[in-house]
Formats: sequence, C-alpha cells, structure tokens
Amino acid sequence: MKNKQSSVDDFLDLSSLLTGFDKVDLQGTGLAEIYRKEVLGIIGAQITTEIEKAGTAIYRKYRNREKLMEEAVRTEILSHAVLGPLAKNITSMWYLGVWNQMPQAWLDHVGIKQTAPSHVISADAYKESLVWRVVGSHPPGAKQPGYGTWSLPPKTR
Amino acid sequence: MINRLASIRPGIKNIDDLRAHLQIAIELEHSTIPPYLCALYSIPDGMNVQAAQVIRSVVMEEMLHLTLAANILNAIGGSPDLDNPDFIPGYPTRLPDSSAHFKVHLERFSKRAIKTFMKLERPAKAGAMPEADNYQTIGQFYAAIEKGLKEICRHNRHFNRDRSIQVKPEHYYGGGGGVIVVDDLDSAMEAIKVIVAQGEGLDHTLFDGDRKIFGENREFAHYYRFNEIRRERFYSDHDSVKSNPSGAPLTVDWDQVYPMKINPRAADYPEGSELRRKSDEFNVGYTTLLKNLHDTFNGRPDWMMKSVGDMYKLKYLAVELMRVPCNDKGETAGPAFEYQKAE
Amino acid sequence: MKEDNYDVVIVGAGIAGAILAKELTEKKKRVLLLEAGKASDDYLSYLEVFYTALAKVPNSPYPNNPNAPSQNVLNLGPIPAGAPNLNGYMVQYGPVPFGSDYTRVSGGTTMHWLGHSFRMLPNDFKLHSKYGHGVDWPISYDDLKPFYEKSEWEIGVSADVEDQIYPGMGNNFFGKNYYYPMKSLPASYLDQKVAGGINGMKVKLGKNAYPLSVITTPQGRNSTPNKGYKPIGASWDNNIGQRCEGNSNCVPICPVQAKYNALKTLNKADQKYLTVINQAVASNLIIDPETNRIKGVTYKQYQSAQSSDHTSHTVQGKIFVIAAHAVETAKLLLASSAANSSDLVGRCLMDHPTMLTWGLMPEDIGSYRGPGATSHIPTFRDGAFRKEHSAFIVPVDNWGWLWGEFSPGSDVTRAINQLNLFGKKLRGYLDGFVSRQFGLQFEFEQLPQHANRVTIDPNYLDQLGNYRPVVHYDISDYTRAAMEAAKGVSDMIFAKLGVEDYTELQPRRYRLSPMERGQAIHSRAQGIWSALIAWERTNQIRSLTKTRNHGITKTCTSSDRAACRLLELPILR
Repeated sequence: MKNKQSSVDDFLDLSSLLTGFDKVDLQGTGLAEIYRKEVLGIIGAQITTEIEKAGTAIYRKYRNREKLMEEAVRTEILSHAVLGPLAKNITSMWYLGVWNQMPQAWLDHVGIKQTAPSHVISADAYKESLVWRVVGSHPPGAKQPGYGTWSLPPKTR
Repeated sequence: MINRLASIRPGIKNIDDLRAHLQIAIELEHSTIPPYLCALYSIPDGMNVQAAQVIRSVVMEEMLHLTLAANILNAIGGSPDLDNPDFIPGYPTRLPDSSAHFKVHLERFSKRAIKTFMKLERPAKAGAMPEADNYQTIGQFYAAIEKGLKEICRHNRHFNRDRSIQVKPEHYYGGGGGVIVVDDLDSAMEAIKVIVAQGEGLDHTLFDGDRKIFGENREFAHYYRFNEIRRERFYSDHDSVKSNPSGAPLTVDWDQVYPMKINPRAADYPEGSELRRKSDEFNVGYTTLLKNLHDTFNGRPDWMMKSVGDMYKLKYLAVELMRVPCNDKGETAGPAFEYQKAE
Repeated sequence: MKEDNYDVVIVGAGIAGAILAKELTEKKKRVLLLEAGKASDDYLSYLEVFYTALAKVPNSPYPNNPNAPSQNVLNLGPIPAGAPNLNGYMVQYGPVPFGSDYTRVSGGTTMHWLGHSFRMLPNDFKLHSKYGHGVDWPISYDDLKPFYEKSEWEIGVSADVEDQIYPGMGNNFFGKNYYYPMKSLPASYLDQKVAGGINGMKVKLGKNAYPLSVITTPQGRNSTPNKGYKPIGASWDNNIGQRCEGNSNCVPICPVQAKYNALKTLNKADQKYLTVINQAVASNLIIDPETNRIKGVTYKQYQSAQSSDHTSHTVQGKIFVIAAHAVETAKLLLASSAANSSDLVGRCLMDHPTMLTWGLMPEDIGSYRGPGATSHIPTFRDGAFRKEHSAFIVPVDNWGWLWGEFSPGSDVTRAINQLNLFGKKLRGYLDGFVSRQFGLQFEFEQLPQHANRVTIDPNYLDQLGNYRPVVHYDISDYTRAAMEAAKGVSDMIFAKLGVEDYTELQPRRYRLSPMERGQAIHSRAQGIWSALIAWERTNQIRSLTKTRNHGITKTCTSSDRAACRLLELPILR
C-alpha cells in the first residue's frame, strides 16, 4: 500500500529514468537513500515528492517502451519550470557525485531564499559517480583496476 | 569439497596419483577463497579495518598457495584444470576437520564466519598417514603429497624444467610471500612447506612460517589471527598457543557489515529480473576469471595481469550486490560464485 | 636536545632534504631536519580530503596551512598591468602568471608529482656553444651520469634501457651494464594505438625532417622489479602498492603509494641520528660576518595552522643545507641577505610552459586509464631546430581531456544542460564521446632569463610574518616560437591518426560549475627530474649547499602569439 509520502523506491524509479541505469545498479552504489535525503534537505518535501511521483508514474507506465518514456519525461518533467532544473541536477548528482547549487532564477521561482552551495556529497558519492562507469574507467584515486590493466583493450560494453 | 577429497584413495603410488592429488590441492585452496572474500567484501570501506586486513592477508596467502600448487603440478608435467564446472565446490561446502566435517558457507563477516575460518585454519597434528580409506584431515592430505613427491620424484624425476610455464615473482605480488618457481624436488618441497606452514603454524607456535621461509616480519598464523578478532583482543607476548589472547583490545563492530544473505545464488531471483541480471554478471565474471587463471597456469603466466584486473572488477560487483536489498528480512544480495559461461 | 650538536641542519623535508638526511645519517652524521609544514603521518586522511574536494587540484589533498602557505592553482588569474595578482600565496606581477605550485608538507611536492624521471641530454649542457642560445653548464652530462643512476635507484624508476632512445644521446648515455631498478610500466592501450599510427612518420621542422618515435616514459612508480631491487609500497602496509594499481591519480595523490614520494626516503634514514622538527618555518639565516659562513637558522614554530601563535628558535650546526624548493630557497636567502653579491639569487626562475592539443580518436581508445602518461615522443628534445626555438617533449596523455576541457565532468554537464540528454541516450552519448578523447602535451624548455625572478617585499607577508614570494615571469620568443612549431607537429599527428581536432574550438559559452573547474584543474604536476639539478649559479657561501627541489610542477602559462589555444585556467574564462 502506498501512502501519500513518496519513498526511496519512487526516487529510484525517477533516478532510473534520468540516468539510464537499472534500479539495481543505482541501489548497488549504496547512495539512493543518501541522495534522496540530500534532495529533501535542500529542496524540501513538497517539490521532492512532486518530482518523485511524476517519475514513478512514468516509470511504471512506460518501462521498456523507450520512445513513449522519453516523450513523457520530456513533457512532464524536463520541460516543467520547477521540475526540469531539479531533474537535471539529480541526474548530474548521480553522474558526478556533486550537488550543484540550483540556479538563482529557479530559486526565485520556487521561493527558496537560502540554499546549499555546490559540494561533493561524500567520499562514496565521488567513488560511485556513474560517469566513470559509463566510459569504462574508474574514478581517479578509487576503485583501482589493477596493475597493467591500462594496457589491455577497453572493455566491451 | 569433502567429496572431492574422498574421491581419491589415500596414498600416492605413481605420478598420476601425485598429479591427481595436486589438482585436488588446487581445488582445496580455491574452495576457501569465496567464503573469505564474502566476509571481506561485506565490510564497508574504512570499517573494521584490522579485521579486514587480517582476512585480506589470509586471502592473499590462499591465492599464493593455489599458485604454488599449480606451479608444482606444472613442474611435474600436469595441467591444472580450473575452467571446469566441478572446480567450484558449490556452497555450502563441507571440509574435513580432524575427525568431523563442517560446513563452510558464503556468508557476511560475523562471529560465526570467523569461527568457521578458525576451523579452516586449525593447526594440524603432525601428519600421520590415514588409516581409513580416505583422508580425514587436510594435514594428512598434504603429508601424503610431501611423501609422494619425495618418493615418486626422487632424483628430480618427472620435472620438466620448463620455467616458461611457471608463475614467477614478477607475475605474483602484493602479499602472502613470494612465489616459488618449481623446477626440481627441492623447490617443490619448499613450495609445499609454504602452503602447510603459512596456514597452520609451523612447529605449533603462534607464528607462521614466513619468518623462516621469507625472512619477513613474523606474523601470527591465521588461526590465531582469527582468534584475535573473535575475542576482540590481541595476543600479548606472554600468551601461548593454548591460551586465548590477553593483550590490548581489538575493536570489532560486528554490525558494520553489509547484511548479505547466506549462500546467495543466481537462481534466488526470477529470470529476467534486474537482480538476476546482476547476479549473472558476477557469475559470468567469476567464470571468466577461472578461465583466465586456467590459461595463466597453462602456459601463459603473463596473463596473471588480466586475472588481477578480473579480481578487482569482481570485488566492485560483489560489493554492489551486497548493497541491494533482496528480501523482506532486510538482507541484501551477494556474489554467488557459480560457474556460468557468457551466453 | 642540545642545539649546537648538529653536523648538518637541513631546511625542507622534500626529496632533496630527505635524500641528504638518509645519506648523512647512514654515515652517522647528526642531522636536524626543519620542515615548514605538517608531518605526513596520516596519509590516508589526505585521501579522504581529496575525495570530497570540489576542485581536485594538485594541492587539494594537503592541508591549507596559512603558517606555511602553498600556491594553489585555483588562485591564478589574469594580471592587470602595473598591479600584481594578490589572490594566492604568490604575489604575481606577470606579465604571464607563474602557474606551478608546490606543496609545503613533509614529503614536499613529491606528494603530488607525476613521477616522470627523465635525464637531461648531453646537448642540454652546452646549449650556447652548440646552438647559440642560453648558456653552457660548467659541468657535462657525464659528470652527472653517476648521480642520475643513484637517483633512479633511490626513487625507484621503472624503465627499460633498451627502449630509451633519444635524439643526440650519444654512444654512452647509459653505462654499459646499467639497468633501471624496475622494468618499464606497460604502455597504455592508447599509447599502442598512437605508436602504431605514427612511429617512423617524418615531420618537417624548419629545413629538416624528423622521424617520430613513441617510447615508454621512465617514471618513479612501482612495476616489476629487476635484480637487486625491492619495491617499497604503502607506509601503512607494504603489501599494498607493490605495483602501480592503475588508480589514475598520480597527481594529486597516489592512494597506494606505488608512486615514489620523499617520505619513503625519509623512512630509510637512520632515526638514531635524525631529528625532525615539523611546523618549523625557517625565517632567517644567521651569517657570521667574519667568516661569511652561515652559523645558524632561525625558525618559527607553530602549534596549529589556524593560529599565528608561534615561538622563535635558533639552531646551530656545522653545515646548513637549504633544500626548501626553488622559490622558497631563494626567498630565505633573500630574506637573510645571503649569497647574493652576484644579484642572481631568485633570478632565472623557470617553469615548463605547456601547450595542450586534444581531439577525438576515430574509435574507443580506453581513455582515462592508467598513470598520467606512460609514453612520450622524444623526437624534439634535441636537434638543429634548437637554433631557432626551444626543445620540447611530448607526453601522450592517458587522461583524455581532463586537463584541457575538464572532462568528463564538463561533458556530463553539457550533455545534461545544453544537449538536454537523459537516460540511455545520455549514457550512449558519454560513452561514445569520452572514451575516444585523446590529448597530447607539449612541454617546452625555458631558458634562464634574469627578469624571471622571485623577490621579496616587506609589504607582502604571510600570517607568521614571513615573506610571500613576489614573482615576475614571462615566456621568451625563443620558447613561443617552439609553441608555434609544436602546433604544426600536432596538426600532422592528428591528421595521420584521424583525430578530430577540438583544440581550436572557441571557449564554450556555458558557465562551468565549481566541480567542473575542479575536474579541470585536476592537473598533473610535471615533476621534471632534470629540474632537480637545475641552474646553480648562486652558490657563494662555502658552507651553504643549496639544493633545489624538483618543485617545478604544472604550468598554466599561455601565449597569445601561439597559433593555437594554449592552456588557460578555466578561471580565466
């Protein structure tokens, strides 16, 4: 049963849409709850719940139907004045492990006066940043791949 | 694993017997690695640092033993076989301990896991030959190999002297002592001594054989290192093999562990599920590692480099699995270590 | 502790100070080592700081210490005419910003150096008589050769002698039976692609054609040991770091200490004869007016980096060694009016101006894997062209566009914000774009120029009241001409390899987030070994053995006259 509150699972649905990673892979980073808390703490429950609900609805309706899903995300989230910039920030958080300060125009629009500056969310967030996984490498200084592996052909992905 | 041990008759009468024993030695050394790795990887980065360090050092030594057994087998004209569904025991597996058998699980770091590790590493009584029609202890098993080597390979018989197929120190590094290139009886005996001495304590002291053999800092044999974790205390200078450690406290936080379910299997998750896909990914990766190690031990020692890369990849994948909830008991998935070829 | 008891007092626990401390204590000399920064007893905490640093610049893991400040590349910026840039520790008059940084912490700048360990070439020592530029050295390559060998074994350099073929190296560059302590690190996959594409290709420079070669780079990083050498791994567990584990993070910090740092040497010193005082900033050398010898060092000792509270002490000794880095050493001498009757102290400040070119390879080359660079093109280290312009060395970059474009962070931001990509298309785009990123570095020789200098000014002091370095710095026409030539070389290489050149793109219009800037300036320090024995022309006091740190690190200097876009710090954009 779902109550009015959204959940980590909704956040994962949304994040999966935005990042292109399966939920299981996002869970594997161990960061889903931490990232959700970050968003809740900075943006507040109301907008966070709104974007999660929008995300989970699209995820459930269009999962594995790429074209329809993309259309829905663009219509309902990305082009939305409040949700769009937040969605982009959440995507970038997963890819880089960094929370970027929200643009001033957006803050004015939603009426947030003070907000968190840009920051690396945690050491783990850096180590799990998805961009390195996408390019077939590893975050510099972490998840070492082993002696000489750089001389082997890039892995087939 | 006990079945594999039971599958050969005690006593080594000819070179084929000796090779068969060494193949099983490789399997035996391998069989403990997945359980150790599950415990090790279930400890999050930066937590329980001392415990993790001990387990890591033991794993490194088991890998060294595996490599040494393969070097000996190669040296006497055998072909180590790792790329084979039967090479992995399947968990839980049973191993011999003196008169009794005990189960070894793939499980997270816990008191129970440490107790199992202590059984795995319990110092052997001097290796009397078995009277029954199979090996009762691992000590007996290695004693038989030592004896077999001395008899069958007397005057360096059967040694092929092909150093090009040996894994050398340049291929193996990072702990556990040095790899020994085996090309005659002396070096083979030296390699066996490392395997026996490191795990089980030499001459029944607290210390393992590293000091004698490698001239390195003396370290407690595995059994005693695990006992320190179990008792959450270091041995002090006046403790003996019989006492429990009474030195400084060793902090262990048994709760700082990924809650991996016991003996995970890919088949736990429905076909087509995301978790199944990820679990399969681990198994396929593990099978690839075995294949690469197989090739490493069959003429391509330089491929050890590839295998090390595979090991790191598996580590990161295992940890990811351990963070994914898999049931309503609050447990997470984990690496299954099953033989699975890529499709 | 008796304060007059020391045979040798060394200022600076970097590579030079550490080697001296080790060698001297082995000979039972009583040594005092004064280090301005903190002890490096918690290396792993540096790593944690690095992980959460938004801007992962060379000094990002190391303590921000106002009592012994270090230059931070984040503080570089344009220099308005007539007024210095005061943003950082250095007071920069330009006209070109001096872009190198160094680290004032136990271990010195080896903590974040890249590890490249080149020897200079015989002609480098006779530039004037051979090519009519610069000056000749009072010593030759052969004089230095035995010391190179010793240094390579101390650092633990990985290279195969038979691969090391340079222009103008002569017949006896390496001793007959010499071998490096460790075998060459494996060349990266992309090195192999580049070598396959351009080896033997002839490139015209002036009247002559030069055949290109791509060879592995000697570096102070653990690989497979040769006979007689035992790799030294991490200080907290020697089983870690026995080999380079491919962390791709030599700069700013190797997580497993597979890369050499001076702490390894310092640990080998005989501790019975060594006294180390950390957080002790040397501020003055006391000179005996009768003998003109140094007889003491005054230092300021502080307890906390956050407070300027300190006590002053003076130590005495028989011999003093100032091994505090090229800039800090000059500063201390100037502050003490020592060794400067020639007015040469602090002059001829040098760096290695760097030009980057970058583009996309036709296929996935597995960028962003391995040490910063495992191969280089040695072709332009020496040749007749040195009559026209300076020599340059060309490392083949393993880290894609990290330095040039702040990739992949900037690519992610652009893909999300400008290209409006998300989901699988975002993944696909980044995969296709980032793993093909390829870059070359061109690092140029700089001649001694008197006007390039470090001075001091009582108006510019740090928190402890010590002088900040005041720097005047420019790049000569001789070096700028080489940049133009190098861009031509890059064009030909790119054409041969089918690289889509991105070098001349206009700076992007989007604003960079601080993270991207961080990714950007996560630059590699080029610890050029040859700099360790760089110009020594100011040694006048007999008891003063002045050594120089390899402190020359990355530079961000730029030239508007070069035909291409040179490296600019993002902050300048």
